[in-house]
Amino acid sequence: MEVAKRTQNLTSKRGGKEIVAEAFTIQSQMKNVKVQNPPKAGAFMEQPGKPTSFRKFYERGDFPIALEHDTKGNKIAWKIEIDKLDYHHYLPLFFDGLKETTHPYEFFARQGVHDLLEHGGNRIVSVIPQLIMPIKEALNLRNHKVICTTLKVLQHLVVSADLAGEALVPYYRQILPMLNTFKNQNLNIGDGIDYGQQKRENIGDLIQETLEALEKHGGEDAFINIKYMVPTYESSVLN
Amino acid sequence: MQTSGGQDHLCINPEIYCKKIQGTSVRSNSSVLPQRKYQRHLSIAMATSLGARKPTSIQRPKRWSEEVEEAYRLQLAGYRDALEYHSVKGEIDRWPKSGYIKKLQRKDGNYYYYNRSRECADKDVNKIKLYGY
Repeated sequence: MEVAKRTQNLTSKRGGKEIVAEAFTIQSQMKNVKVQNPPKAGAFMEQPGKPTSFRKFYERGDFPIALEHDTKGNKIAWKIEIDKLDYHHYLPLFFDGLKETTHPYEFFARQGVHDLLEHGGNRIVSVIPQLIMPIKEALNLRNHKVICTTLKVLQHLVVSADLAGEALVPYYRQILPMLNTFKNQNLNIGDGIDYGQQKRENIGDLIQETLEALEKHGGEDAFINIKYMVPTYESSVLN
Repeated sequence: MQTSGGQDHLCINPEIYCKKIQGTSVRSNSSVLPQRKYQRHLSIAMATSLGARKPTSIQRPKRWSEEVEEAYRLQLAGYRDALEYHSVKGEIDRWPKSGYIKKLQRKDGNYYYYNRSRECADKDVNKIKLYGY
C-alpha cells in the first residue's frame, strides 16, 4: 500500500525528464527529482461547524424567548423575567449558540448572551466553569465572525460580575491558545482605511483589547498566566 | 380606569385625588391613610389620569438627550411615554446609577431588557416622538 501511494505521488514532467516527489522519501534522493513543498498545516484554516444544541433547543421552542421577527431593532422579547431564569441551564446553552453563523440562531444566541450577562450579576460567577467548553469550541472553529463575537462576549463576561475576571484565570489554558494564534492577524494596508477597525472586526485589535480586559479584571495572577499562554503579550497594567 | 399597583389602587378615583391635592380635604384624608402610602397612591392616580389623557403636542428631537433616551426605550416596547406605561403596567424598573430604564413589560406580556449605557443611536434620534400635554 505504502509503495503504491508513493508511486502515485511521483509525477513526471517534460516527457519523463523531471520527477516531483515528496520530501524525505527515497525518490526525493534520485537525480532529476523536484522535491515538493510541505503541505499546509492549516493553523488558520476554518473548521466546519457541527449542529449545536442551541439550534436544537431553539427549534424545539425550549427557550423562554418570543420567536418573532419584526422591525423593532435588535432586541429579544423574553417570555419570563431574566431574574427568574435558571442560569446553570440557560447560560451554557446560549454560549453554545456562539458557534452558529446563520440567522436567526446567530442573532438570538448573541443577543441572549448579552442580555443574560448584563442582568445576571453575581449569579454568573458560579456558572463560569460550564462556559469554558463552549467558548473554547467557538474559538477553535477559526471562523472570523465567530471569533469576533466570542472575543466581545469574553470582554463582556469579565465585567459582568465582580469576581468573574478572577474566576476565568484557571481556564486560560483552554481559552488563550487560539488568541495566541491569531494575535498578529492584522491588516497592513499602509495609509489606507481599514473599515474593520470602525466596526470592531479586526481580530488582532480585538485580541489585544480582550487580553487587556482579562489582565485588568483578573487579579494579581492574571498577567503571569496570560504571559505563559501568549508570550508576546506585554502588560498594560504593570508598565 | 385600572392601575396595576395592587388591589387597593383599584378603589381610587384619580380625579378625586387630583382635586383633593388642590383643596383642603387632603388633611382629613391623610389621617386615614399613612402619608407615604397616600403620596404613592396620589402619584399613580395622577399618572393614570394623565395616561388616559391624549397628548396635545408632538415634537421630533434633533439631538440625543436623556429625555430622548427614555422615550426611545419606551417606544421600542410599544408605549407612548412613561405616563402611558404607568397607567398600563405601573412602576418602571430602572438602573441604579444612570437612572435609565432597565426593564419594560410589553403589552403582550413579554419583557424587554435594556443596557446600562446609552442605546439610542444618533441615526434613531429623529424617529422618536416627544409628546406634550
